[in-house]
Amino acid sequence: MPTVKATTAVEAKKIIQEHNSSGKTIEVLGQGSKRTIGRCIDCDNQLDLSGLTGVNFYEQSEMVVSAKAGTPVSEITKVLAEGGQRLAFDPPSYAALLGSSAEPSIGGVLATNLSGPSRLSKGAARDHFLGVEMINGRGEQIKNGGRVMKNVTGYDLCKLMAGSWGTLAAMTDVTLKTLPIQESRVTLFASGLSDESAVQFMSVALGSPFDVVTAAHVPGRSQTAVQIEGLEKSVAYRIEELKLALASFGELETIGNEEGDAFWVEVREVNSLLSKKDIVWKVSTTLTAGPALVNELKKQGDVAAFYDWGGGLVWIGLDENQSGLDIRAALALVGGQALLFKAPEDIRKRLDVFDPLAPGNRMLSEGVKRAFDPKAVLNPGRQFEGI
Amino acid sequence: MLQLPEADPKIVSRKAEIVSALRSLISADDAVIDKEDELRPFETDGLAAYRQMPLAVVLPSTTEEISAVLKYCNDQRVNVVARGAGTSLAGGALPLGDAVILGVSKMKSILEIDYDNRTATVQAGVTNINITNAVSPDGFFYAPDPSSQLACTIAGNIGMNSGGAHCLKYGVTTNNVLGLKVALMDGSIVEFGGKHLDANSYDLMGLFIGSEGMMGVVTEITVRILRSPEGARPVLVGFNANEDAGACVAAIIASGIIPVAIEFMDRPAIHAAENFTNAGYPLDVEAMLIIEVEGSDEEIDDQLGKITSIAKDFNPVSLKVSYNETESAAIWKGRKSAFGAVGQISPDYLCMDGTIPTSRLPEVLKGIQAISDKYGLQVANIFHAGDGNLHPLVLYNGNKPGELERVEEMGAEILQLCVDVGGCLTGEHGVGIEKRDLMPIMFNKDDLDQMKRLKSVFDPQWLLNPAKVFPLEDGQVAKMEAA
Repeated sequence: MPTVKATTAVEAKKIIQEHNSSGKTIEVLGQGSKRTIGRCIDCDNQLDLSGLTGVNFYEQSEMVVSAKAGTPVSEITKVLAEGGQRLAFDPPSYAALLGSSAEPSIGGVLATNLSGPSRLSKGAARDHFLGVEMINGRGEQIKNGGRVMKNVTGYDLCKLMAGSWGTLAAMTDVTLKTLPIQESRVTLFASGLSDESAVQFMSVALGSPFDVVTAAHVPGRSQTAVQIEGLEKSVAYRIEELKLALASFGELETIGNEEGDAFWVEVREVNSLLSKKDIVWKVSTTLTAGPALVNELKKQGDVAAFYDWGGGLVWIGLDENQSGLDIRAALALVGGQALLFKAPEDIRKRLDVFDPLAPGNRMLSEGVKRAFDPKAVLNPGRQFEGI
Repeated sequence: MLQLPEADPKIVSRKAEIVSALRSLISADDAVIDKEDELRPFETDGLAAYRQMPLAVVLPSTTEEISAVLKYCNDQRVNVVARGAGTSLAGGALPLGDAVILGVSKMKSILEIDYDNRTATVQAGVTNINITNAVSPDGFFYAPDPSSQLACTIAGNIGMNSGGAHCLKYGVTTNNVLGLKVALMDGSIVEFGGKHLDANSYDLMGLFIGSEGMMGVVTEITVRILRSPEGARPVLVGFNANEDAGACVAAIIASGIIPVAIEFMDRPAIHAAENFTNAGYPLDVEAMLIIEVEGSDEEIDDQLGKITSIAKDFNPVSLKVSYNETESAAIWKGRKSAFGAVGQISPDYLCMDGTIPTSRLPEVLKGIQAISDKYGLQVANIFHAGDGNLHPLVLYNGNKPGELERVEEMGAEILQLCVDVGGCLTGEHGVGIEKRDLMPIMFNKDDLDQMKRLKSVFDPQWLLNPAKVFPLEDGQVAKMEAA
């Protein structure tokens, strides 16, 4: 498929206008790191935005950063770290899991609304997305939102762009909220808990007033963990209080900044915790429903799983011969949604990658697509057939 | 003066028929209002300078009744304006002469509280404070806290994506909602989200929140509830200059401490509030900050110690740490009654709501003063300084001929200034009718057309809350088809 490279918004606009005129389709790509997630599509051309890079501005005292959409996340993280700040939704890289060498771009992270462990307490990518400039399918340059944290001027199109997988518009510039990196971070580990007790453990911690930022359970390693961050004295106090609240769950161990961080990176990047399974599902459900779902699936086949977001995010790994396992049927018993996150192409072509839409939601989604991209030139079918 | 489109005489002449049809759709006897004296309470909202009697008011009790009313109005091409408690400061719930007001005031049930998953599911007419009241005995709260929280409904909060004093830490409505049940104009009922996090499809919930009642009527809401902190206490710092207070805010944020709230008041606001509440505010200062932090007593002391040591670099002339609940309550009482207090010193005031990048605070305050001098109208400044959300209150007398026009012109100039420094027209009140005609300051035609196309996806005939958010063209609602 021929690739067209745009290094400015004006170039991107011209390319999309041409496609809108000719009706030819175009696949929108940032750095391409998540290209194997989602439905397989076959477009006439490819719009490569990996050259659309650079930080537009970073204002530390306003907690805001703006960058070109193709900018690698690592570049932004580096600039923010110099100001003692970070992107608090914890943008993940799934390079190892997906076997990709590309680095995620900020536009790609936002377009897929993917967030790491601290999504639980700090919000998702969409919650930190303050402003956007984009080219819609008509080739019109549109802006929405801005650089301030509180803004209700007009409809919130940033939310719509987050999780639209490039099917509505090609983002060219994005502005995000930043937060300070806390001086102290401590992780409290319990071991040997069943999935049910682990969820209980996380629930007690999260229901406490001690401001837990992340909570995960990795059965394969027999580890259940919650993390606290903040000023040093405050963290020390809250960890002691949490230990008292969680005393009935057996022996607890605390680990400080670096070693603790390493654990959360593993949780965020998934790969090492699912021992290289061929098929990976990302399941979002109610916080307490995960164990019931996993137990149900284990009755049907060989399943590896671990829990993030206090139990609300269940990563499920399967071998290729287990691809027939009906995750969504089991999930229907408890409620939630399932994304086929990693799978060989033939399986992604056979199964619904994203949850099928209810009729009313399908009708609205088709309408939203038409409102941005009436000729369906941008990433058609990336999420849903016909959208 | 802002224009409303002329009422359609064909619809107005069918009032008896429409009222009768609405009565047939609703079970409660008192749920359709058509008599003039009973319609009067619905003729305005929090933007009381504007009044317009509606055709009728309907107060459904269930999602199904809302759906039936919308379907009937859609089939008959009757405009509908959804209304929560009518506290909008932007005229978001202002009626039209040919519109049915759809109020959610009968839908006040809390449907489910789920502590294990930390969610509450409520009907649309539940007030903001009643969600917190329902869960606070067990130590939980619902975070967004608009000043009108005693009265405003969660439906209205969804419509306007309401904020509050504590959103510096906890975010605004859209960051605290997990799921919605919505009735669309054609009567269909859709659900967005649920009790789980994030959508695997377009974030229609994120689009809907803050769409100002133009896309559908929300009937049930699932929100995230949070465990209350062990305690919270503010420090009150007075400064000789607005610039010092502004620079202090920037220094606190830059230090890495995120307080739960940083509130700013200037001299006129301080004096009004102090006269009204005897909060113990310093009267010899030009500006004052209320900075609140949360945690255990020791944690609060630690954080307030760090904050006061930062504040000392900015020439504070008074510094008062709250040491107990009584002192905290007094400090907050002054702030929370400040709007009402300003109402005591002036016959009328217009509450602005622009947001600016916080680093531009000192120059914007100077600019507002210059605009105030130019128009000869006094301004009291009260705002959420941590996130740059300004509430300049412009004092005026609506009985003086021409003064409302002048205050609106002045307000527009203040908002133009906010946009010029990189901010926006409205931080938490919404566009409504009030800022409708200013939208081109921020958005060009393509930007606005893209939003209008989305409106048409949800409501192709533009019957839901028309004449809001988008500027009129030749006195008419300027529709735009979806594709």
